Amino acid sequence: MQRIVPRLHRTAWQKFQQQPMGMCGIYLLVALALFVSLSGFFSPFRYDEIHLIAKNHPPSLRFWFGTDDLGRDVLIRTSYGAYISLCIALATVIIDLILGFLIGSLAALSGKKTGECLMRFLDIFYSIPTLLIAILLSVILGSGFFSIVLAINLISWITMARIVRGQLLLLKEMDFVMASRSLGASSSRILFTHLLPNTWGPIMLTLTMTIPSAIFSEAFLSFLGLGIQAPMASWGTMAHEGLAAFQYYPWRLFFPAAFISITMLAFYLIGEGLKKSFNNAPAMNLP
Amino acid sequence: MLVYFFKKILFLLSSLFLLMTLTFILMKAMPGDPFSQEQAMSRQEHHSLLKQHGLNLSYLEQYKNYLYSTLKGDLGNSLIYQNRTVNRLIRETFPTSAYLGLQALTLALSLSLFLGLLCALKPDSPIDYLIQIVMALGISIPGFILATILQYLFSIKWHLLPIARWGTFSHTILPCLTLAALPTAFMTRLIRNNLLEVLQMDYIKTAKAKGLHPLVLLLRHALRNALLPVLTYLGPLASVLLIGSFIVENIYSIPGLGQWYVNSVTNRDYPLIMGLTLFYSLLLMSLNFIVDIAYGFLDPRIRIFSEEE
Amino acid sequence: MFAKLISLLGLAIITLLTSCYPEKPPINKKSTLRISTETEPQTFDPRHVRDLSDTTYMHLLYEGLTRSEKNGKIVPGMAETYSTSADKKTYVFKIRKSQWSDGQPVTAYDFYETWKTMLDPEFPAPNAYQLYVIKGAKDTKEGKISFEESGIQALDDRTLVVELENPTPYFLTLASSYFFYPTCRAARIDSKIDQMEQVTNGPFRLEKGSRLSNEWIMVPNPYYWDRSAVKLDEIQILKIDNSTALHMFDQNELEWAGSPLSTIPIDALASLKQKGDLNIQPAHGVYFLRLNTEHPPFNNTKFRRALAFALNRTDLVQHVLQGNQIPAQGYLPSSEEASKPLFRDHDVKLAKKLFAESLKEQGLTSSSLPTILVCYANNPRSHKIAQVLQQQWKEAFDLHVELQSCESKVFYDHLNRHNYQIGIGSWFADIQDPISFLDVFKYRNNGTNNTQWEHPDYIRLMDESAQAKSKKREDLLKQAEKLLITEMPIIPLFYSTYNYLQSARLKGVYFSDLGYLDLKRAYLEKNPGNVNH
Repeated sequence: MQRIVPRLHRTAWQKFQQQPMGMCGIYLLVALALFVSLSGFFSPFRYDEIHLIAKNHPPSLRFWFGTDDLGRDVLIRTSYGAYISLCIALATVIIDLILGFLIGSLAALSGKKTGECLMRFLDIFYSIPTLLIAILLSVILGSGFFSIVLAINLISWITMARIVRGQLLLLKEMDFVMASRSLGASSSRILFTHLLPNTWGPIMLTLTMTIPSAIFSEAFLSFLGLGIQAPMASWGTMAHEGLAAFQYYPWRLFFPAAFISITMLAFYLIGEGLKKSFNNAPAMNLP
Repeated sequence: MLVYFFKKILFLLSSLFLLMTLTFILMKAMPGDPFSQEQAMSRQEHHSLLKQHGLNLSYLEQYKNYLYSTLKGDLGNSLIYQNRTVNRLIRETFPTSAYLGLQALTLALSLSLFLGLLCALKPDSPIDYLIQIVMALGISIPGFILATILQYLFSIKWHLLPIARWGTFSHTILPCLTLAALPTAFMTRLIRNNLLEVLQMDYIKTAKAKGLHPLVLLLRHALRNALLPVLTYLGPLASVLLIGSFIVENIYSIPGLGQWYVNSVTNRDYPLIMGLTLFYSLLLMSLNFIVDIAYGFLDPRIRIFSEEE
Repeated sequence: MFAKLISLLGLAIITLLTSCYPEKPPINKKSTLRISTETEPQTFDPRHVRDLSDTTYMHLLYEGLTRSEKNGKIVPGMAETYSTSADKKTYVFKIRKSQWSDGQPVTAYDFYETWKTMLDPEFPAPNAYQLYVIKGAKDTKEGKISFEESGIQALDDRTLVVELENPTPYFLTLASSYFFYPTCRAARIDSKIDQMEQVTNGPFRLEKGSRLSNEWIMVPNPYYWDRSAVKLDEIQILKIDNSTALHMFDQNELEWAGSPLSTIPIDALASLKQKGDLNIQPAHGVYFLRLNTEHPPFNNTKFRRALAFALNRTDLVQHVLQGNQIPAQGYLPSSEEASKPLFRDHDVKLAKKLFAESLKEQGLTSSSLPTILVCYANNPRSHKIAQVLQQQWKEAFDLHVELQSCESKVFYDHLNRHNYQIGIGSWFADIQDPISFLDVFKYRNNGTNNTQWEHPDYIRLMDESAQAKSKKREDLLKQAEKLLITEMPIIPLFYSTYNYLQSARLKGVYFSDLGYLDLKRAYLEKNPGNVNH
């Protein structure tokens, strides 16, 4: 028995709303957005306001999340860090989806030779030390948000491309695709109707891995001097700086790390919800 | 078959050459040289240092010399660490990272198989949710935080394991756990999701209807197909783990190869950068090759070897 | 069914457990000193040393003609006796009968040949310029004369004669530094790459096969002439991450952490000071801001001085650095001849006045000032300093300053090409003399200057001091420092300190304020029972 793939977006959204996990994820993100905007509005401190006397103070009535090593309010800095980390997340999603999916599909669906060639090219790019590229980009584009996002994602989409390619290689040999083709369906129809929905799962899953990876790569590159300039800081950078002081002033690590985890959890839940709402039993008949 | 291998080798060599050239160009484009420091030397000394290491020749000349010596098997000497050749460095440190990487890979694979199977057997149960949440957290904790927390708990607070360094089995436990965390989390969910999808297929339902034991069903029929996407991920994962991680090696003071990737670039140690890139690429390509073969074993329909289409 | 799953897991665990690794033998009762280091040693050849950490290894492995002990006392080293001529320009050293760690005798020719290679125009020796006090050394290095014509002669195996350009009162101290160390014949002839056995003549030698595993092991040199003075059985130098090193020290797995080979994380300093564990020692170094004096508005002296006086160094040192560094109110560290402060710290009133005047002189207003950029090589300390500077200048002048952290090599490149405005920098002296600090800014072409500042009066003062004798020389150098502060091509921030943790059992260590550890007479007390500091 074949189940029909639901293609109407309206139906998908309704289905999504029925998923407790997915909605949880959305609520979390909304809560995060509220936190960011409200703290930006109401906070008596600026994110770069230094109070040296009050350095490394634990959470108190004055500083709800405590202060960092230069006496800055951790709450407002966490809130600002959200912008940067979420922008990185967004950039990763876009680049991974566009580049990763396109190239991956190309590699899987074009001829044997082209596919091989493409994979070899990907291997080559993957082998170049990422740090090299990051340094060069920071020199050419000046250190800052743009260069670091580019540096991180210039290589990370390759993982997505590989996974997409793997999944598509598997799928295209399946009977239902052959059946479709023998019925005269065009390549793009096959791609979008049959292959894409079944690739969605692995894509979502990989995204939930590459997004945190990207956030942590940014922290690592900032540690080497490339990336956004002080006093702006992303969650990754704050977590990194809080790490050295973890034993003495744990709140400096706790808050950024907690926010990263909560946000990633939110993305994961949304991803699961999306998967379930796009769900279709693939009409595959394996012997 | 022979033709196939020959073509493959040719392909490999030409991609390596392309990689080396690209890396060389990018490397030389970086500002700074190996010998610049804040406490600068006189220009004369600086110049004679560059001359001694052949860095005053034209780029083309340098590249030619480098290629020539590489073909002879000599990857050059480190510019910064004066008594070390690149060959020796790789030879001394790779076994350590490879050992740790293999250990982490084994742990990650077996654990994720176990957990993935468990989740697929009882989907949407409390245990399934629990495992999934834990895995989601595993992905969202960065390596450097996990390493420090593990070190703090198991070593400093509870005195169960050594803090750092290398030498006995107990030294390998914490770094192995740190390295295996992310791959385990990812692969568990990958296996679980794939298994669940495969389990919905008709042929599985047929087998079930025929009275086949669920576990046998899983292991004999479903697993093969579910593992294919994992295989794709396994190639680059293995290469990254075997090479070693800068963060883990730094925090646990492990004499592996991973730390040299970052150090060579920040030091502008050109021969080391080239040598490591070459080595990593060889490793990656061989692992991908193995993965491609394994694909053919697991699912003969994926015709990697034939020249069709 | 679950049984099968459990067996799967069991298999995995067994796989892991059977991946046996040979267990290391238990630590025996030798007295081993374990030190943590941040970076790997770059070289064990004294002619190539550039890094501060490597100087410690030099002092452990080698010995020069003389030896520097506590309080700057100079005692005989490889030279049993030495005498000076009447005009104080010629020194005769009688080399004692001693051997290299491979049994070969140490001769005067070892010194002669080593210095010859250092002064060879083709040989890249970063510290060759330290030999320029010797007659003809500079010319030899520049290829004008041959080495034989210079003031160094080895009359026979045991006699070394050195003739200086001018009477240099601190020459014997110089002779104890690592740039005057000898190397053995094998190292000179055949600088074998991957040479496992380093042949050395000092209190310790590198143990064979120890260049692996992020650790370097030194044992007492059996051929050292003063072997009986060496009490330690073994020194292990371990490359460990700074935070991990702290934890290891707490658990008695290290006997020394922190300066000079590594750094104590800044966040740990407050708690360590409170516990009373932290040792602090003034260093011969100063942190300052380099200003690119050809880049407007830094070509205006008043502007530079305004920026300098507005800073609150006390706050910086107390709250940010926390290592008991000393706010700089001059250029030379106070461990040099104690001098009156040359300016007041945090003199905001004067700073504002100068700022306003400088703007008027340049025909600028606050809003038409170009963006000020502070550049620095990224490390935790500079990172914090830069952010505080940004805040302090904002408070003083409402001046918006941008920060630019760079990867370290990129930063040095910027400095060399004078492609910066303000750069965070430091200078640590090689010898205990103010000239080591002041020389940096003598000529604008000096490799380390990079401020593009030069002043004829400054050059004149430095030249005169080379000829002058003690009191007059001191005066001239002080005047030079005053001129430097008046012109302010650099803004001094603070004088550095060494922060380190030393096990209570470890005694007899001489931590020179030039930044190296002398462990010749170090020993570990046997502490029966509880070993807690």
